Amino acid sequence: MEKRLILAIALSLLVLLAWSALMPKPQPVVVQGVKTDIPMPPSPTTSKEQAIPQAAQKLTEKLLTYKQENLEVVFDETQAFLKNAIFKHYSNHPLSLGYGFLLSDPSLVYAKSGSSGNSITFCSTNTAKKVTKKFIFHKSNYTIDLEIKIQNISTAPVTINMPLLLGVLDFSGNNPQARYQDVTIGTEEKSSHINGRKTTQFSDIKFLGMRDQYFTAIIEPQSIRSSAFISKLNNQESEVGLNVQTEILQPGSQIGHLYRIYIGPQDLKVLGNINPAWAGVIHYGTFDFISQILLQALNFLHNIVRNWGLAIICLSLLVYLLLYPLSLKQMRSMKEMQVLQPKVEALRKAYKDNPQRMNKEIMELYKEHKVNPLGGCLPLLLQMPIFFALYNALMRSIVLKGAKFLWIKDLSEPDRLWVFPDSWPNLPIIGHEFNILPIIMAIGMFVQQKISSTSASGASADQQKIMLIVMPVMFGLIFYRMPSGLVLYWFVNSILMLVFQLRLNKVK
Amino acid sequence: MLKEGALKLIQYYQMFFKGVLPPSCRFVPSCSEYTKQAIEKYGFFKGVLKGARRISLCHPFSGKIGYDPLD
Repeated sequence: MEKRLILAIALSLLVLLAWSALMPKPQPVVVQGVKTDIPMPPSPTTSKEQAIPQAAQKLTEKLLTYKQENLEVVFDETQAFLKNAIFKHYSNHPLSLGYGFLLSDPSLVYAKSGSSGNSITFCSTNTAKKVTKKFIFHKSNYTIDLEIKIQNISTAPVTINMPLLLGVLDFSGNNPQARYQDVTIGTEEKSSHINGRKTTQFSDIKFLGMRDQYFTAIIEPQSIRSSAFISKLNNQESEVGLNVQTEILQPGSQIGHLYRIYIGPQDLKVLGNINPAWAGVIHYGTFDFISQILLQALNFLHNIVRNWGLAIICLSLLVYLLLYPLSLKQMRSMKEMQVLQPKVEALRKAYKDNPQRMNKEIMELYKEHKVNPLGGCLPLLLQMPIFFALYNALMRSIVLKGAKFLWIKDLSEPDRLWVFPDSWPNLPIIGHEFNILPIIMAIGMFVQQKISSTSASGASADQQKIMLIVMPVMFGLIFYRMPSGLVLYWFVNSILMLVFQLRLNKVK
Repeated sequence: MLKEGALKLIQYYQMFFKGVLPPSCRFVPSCSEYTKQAIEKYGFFKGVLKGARRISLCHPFSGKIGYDPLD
């Protein structure tokens, strides 16, 4: 049995180490500077235009920033793509698109041909065609209209087959957003979420979206039918874009396409107002349905208490009250079991050599004393989806971004009671900041477990003792870098359990 | 492979989490033990189904309780 304990500790440590290795390292929110060498994404369907001359590649360094009221976007002028967006109302959080709205034709070199208070135009002319891309920004929300006009200025017909990229997903290890990224394919009927690490095609789509933890970029072609593609560039990057149907342009003629674009937060209120179908981008994983309900409840509570921190505390209270009848029943029966424990032990000793008989006798004992020994496994199992749903909801919920509570500056980040001076080295596990909330939570959990632990004997008592320490330490470490809103929820939850347990002990 | 994985999972659950969670099962053998035996005897799919059926009966309103071995 001793071996088992050591194994238990070793395995817990292993889980911890694996966790801290997998968790994204905290990275300062800085807009990336100008790269000296930007590799061009290969165009997914037109292989003949793959190779770009060195000179053209050098040109791709010209970045220009276009500022709006709630949005700041960085364009690359020579290729006319949107590199990233910065959201001013969300503490300048960036969304990186990589090569947003790039028309995959390396022979085109653009220049800014005009900009006004709400629009910016890029124009490219070569011997065959003239391409104009006009981005029109809508100040009130996060939508952009993209007008693409292509004109044949040569004397021969020109085939137009240029995929339009939505962006490039970066799944590399140093991208803290990697594990939150996915692609949304919206059709007439439904929207589905695709992991984005595999090359795939989707025909006849309505809109296409990609997202990270909090923000999303959506594109919806207005006048044309199109298909979407995800194409794997290498092990770490995937291109996401639209394939527009091939057209042949006669000399002198012109075609124009309009795309509606959204670059903004994954906020149900904002997205639902613009286009309810786009709200399908907001998805919280396996238990999406429960997550959405919990977030609605959180929203409702926020309308009353006017503070997200308080709303989270109230939500914790609410969920606890909903599960109260179950936990009451469970804890009561636990107590009843404890009363019968000596008799059970006696039976165990008496029928040591006949386990079947022993179990039967124990069950008889329960029946005799009319204790319904326990609620059952199902109630306990039913709580799991709620916990997972809430975890997913709080991990992605944009409404907590920048929400303040007591000393916490942002409920979507660790609480950061004390950020170490820059001169300090990065400490193992702790990193560069001291978060107090996960530690208080672990202590709360420890106390709660300590006073609720049943009086077991022998080997299982030893095991219980170890788990009493291992579990809170494990949870403390797992929660250490989690959003403080989530930790706050769990903290309130364990405090409620603690109070309930104390009351129950008193009654006894 | 699925079978071994499922059995390992149940084993880990029994080793680490059973001691921490409040004892709750209405039956003997417990739901986890029952599922383990079922998977060992009938293979992954049938075993998991049998386990799921057992768990679905393990709640305060099922009216069933006590000794319920795998047949």
